[in-house]
Amino acid sequence: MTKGDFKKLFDEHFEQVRSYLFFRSGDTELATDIAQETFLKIWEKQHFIDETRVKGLLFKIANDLFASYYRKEKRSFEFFKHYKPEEKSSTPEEALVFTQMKENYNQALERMPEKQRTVFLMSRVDQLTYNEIAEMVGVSVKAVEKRMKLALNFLRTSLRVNE
Amino acid sequence: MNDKKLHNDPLAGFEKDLFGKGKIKWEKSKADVWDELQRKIDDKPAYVIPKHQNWIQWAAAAVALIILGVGGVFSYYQTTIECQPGEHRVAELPDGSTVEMNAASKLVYYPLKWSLQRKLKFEGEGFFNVEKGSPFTVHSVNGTTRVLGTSFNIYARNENYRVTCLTGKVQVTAPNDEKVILLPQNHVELEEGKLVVTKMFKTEKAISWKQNYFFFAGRPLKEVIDEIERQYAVTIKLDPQLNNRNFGSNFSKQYSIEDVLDFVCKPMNLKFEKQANNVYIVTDES
Repeated sequence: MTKGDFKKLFDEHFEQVRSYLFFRSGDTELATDIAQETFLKIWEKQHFIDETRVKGLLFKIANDLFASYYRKEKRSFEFFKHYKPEEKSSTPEEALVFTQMKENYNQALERMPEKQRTVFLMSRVDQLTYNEIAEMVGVSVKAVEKRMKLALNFLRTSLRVNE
Repeated sequence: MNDKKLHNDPLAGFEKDLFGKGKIKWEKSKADVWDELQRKIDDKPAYVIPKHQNWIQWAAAAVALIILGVGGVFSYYQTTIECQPGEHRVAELPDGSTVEMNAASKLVYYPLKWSLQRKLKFEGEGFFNVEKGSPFTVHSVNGTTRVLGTSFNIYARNENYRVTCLTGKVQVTAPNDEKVILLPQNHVELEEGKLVVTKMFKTEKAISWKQNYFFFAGRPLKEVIDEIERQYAVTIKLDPQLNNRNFGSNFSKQYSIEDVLDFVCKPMNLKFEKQANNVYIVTDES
């Protein structure tokens, strides 16, 4: 792998890897650090790498790093602290409702199980297909569908209660 | 509730507004991360490994193993020559040096390493005739003898260690690292851990065992009886009270075992009895 190839790999996948880590951890700095380390590992081990399967490998390394360093830490998941939605409200009422909704979603996401949340955010924020998600997370498409369904149910239930 | 319904839910509208068009606020831009990464990469250059790397690695590993194996064989392959009670034999070493071994003696050497290191282990009694060459070392439990090329006799049995030099120069080292150098006709004996050198005028007595003559001058009776046991391959039970009684005489193997016991016992007022085939008991007559 030349440096050029590596740069291409980085350009293609860095954002996905990083936001995936953010969806899991809710921590942007941590996600950036692990994503960077993931690419460093790929570079160091490049002669063992089959380039056709490098994407799966990237996520596997990211998962392993995440698991070994950070999984046991308990973190609060404040999604909207790091994520800025596009605001298009025109009236103060609309703006108020929007802020309220944001707050509700934030609470719901914080309570949502990590696996469901990750899949949900990958689908909604990064707008990835279930196939892509399955490949990255390393589970079957069926499992992604199931997690999505559970995540949506979870959201509906908790948001209704909050209304 | 199925997925279809979920997506028609009014909440889905908010979801669309909330997610999908927004931005995650990263502390570091992608370009910043790339710059950092590049710096780290330059610190740790990836090993660019040629295509044949694997092949070479394996070959190197194989060669190393073979060398270790051959080295191991060279270092540890040993030959043992043992001389049973009742027999004498001559051991010839790879360089032409010879060891005439007295009964019940054992010699171990490393034939493959011999040309590099003339070193052997020896217990018992033997007359060494060493060809000139590199240092020749004989290790026994109670001492080490080192020579260049000479002839000498070693007696290394139980706690005893005696060396007699016949020709050339011989260096003897005791277990406590005390060293002496023997010239011809010198004799050294380990007494209570110390090396005691004496001049021996008739060195042939020290090696008379080669001709089946056995000389004893002021030796404990036990040692004499042990020698008889070895030469005739018999068992002799000696009353332990008699172990350290001094004895000075000689015997020749041309006589039968009973004649020899007679020679030994008579002058000392001892008697011996045959208990079974090849088993004798020696006691005080009184």
